[in-house]
Amino acid sequence: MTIKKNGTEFSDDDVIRSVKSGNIKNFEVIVNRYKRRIVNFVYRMIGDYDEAQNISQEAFFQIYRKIGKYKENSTFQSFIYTVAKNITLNYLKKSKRITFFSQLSAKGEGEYIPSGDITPDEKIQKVERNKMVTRGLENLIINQRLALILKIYLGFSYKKIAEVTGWSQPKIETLISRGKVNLKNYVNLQGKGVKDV
Amino acid sequence: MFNKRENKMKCSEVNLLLSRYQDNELDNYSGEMVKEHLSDCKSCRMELGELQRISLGIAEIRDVELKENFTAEVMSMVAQHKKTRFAGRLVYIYSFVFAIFFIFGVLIDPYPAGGSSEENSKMELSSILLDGQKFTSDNNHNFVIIGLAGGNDEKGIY
Ligand SMILES: [Zn+2]
Repeated sequence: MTIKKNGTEFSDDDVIRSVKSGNIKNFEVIVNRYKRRIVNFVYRMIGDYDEAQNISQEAFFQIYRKIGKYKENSTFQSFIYTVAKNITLNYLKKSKRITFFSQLSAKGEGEYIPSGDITPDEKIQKVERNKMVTRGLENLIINQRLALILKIYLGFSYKKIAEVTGWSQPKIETLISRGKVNLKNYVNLQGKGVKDV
Repeated sequence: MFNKRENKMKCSEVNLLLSRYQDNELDNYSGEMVKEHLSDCKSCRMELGELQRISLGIAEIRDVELKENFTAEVMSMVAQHKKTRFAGRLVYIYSFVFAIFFIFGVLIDPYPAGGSSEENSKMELSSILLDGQKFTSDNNHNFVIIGLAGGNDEKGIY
């Protein structure tokens, strides 16, 4: 169940309605539709590849359990990212995140590899900048990181971010704006350090 | 917020709006004002460029691959949950039915007390057939416990 006869996809609400009426197997459609983005959202928040998978699976399970509470007039995406966000924040609270992004260098997962027609020098620069941005994310306070990831990775509007986090518009504006500046300062500082060496 | 006379914004004012400008979250009017300022202010353009590089840096973090059985594992959690919930419901239904029987046994008394005038006569008020045995009750005793294996004596079980 993914494609309708006329070639259009079933909407989230179509699928949810079917799951609610007992076709539990169709929940698979939801998992397959969102798993990649959920896992990568969680991964950017916690920096641990294996835990990101576990947390995301738990999130989908919770989404299934709470599906009765989902009302069709709210957006399904806000609903699922709210669940994923809550589990992620709980995890961060408990774990005190000791190994943020440590796997990045170990496994090469999530590492940025520049493509396109660029010189080796530009390539090194880009990789270096990407590493620094990633480390910079780690150094942000959790709410700034969450706001930036919702905005930049998931491309959410401030309104949608408000739906997921429950934050006010001014709070979101401040978190995102300060997050960008902090990240910029971090990268510039590290960049200088690299040059000086 | 900005100097109305010249209808132009200062760099410090633009700076405060730059993040929202980049995110396309300004109203049309403010957006236009920032745009206008940027068109002839190099330092603010550079500031915006830095913000854009940062955003690009976040956007460019490469996606991780999912484990192969990701979906299957979620679906088995879901199926397991449904099973236990169903089993839980059965237990619930059984205990409900049991409770109903119990309440009936206690509250709805089939053997009313105070057997009126026939007090002394060992009169059989009622009998219940259970497991092929006949249980009887005295007229002054009205509580019957169902299901206990009783003797054959006429006093029955109270
Ligand atoms: Zn300026």
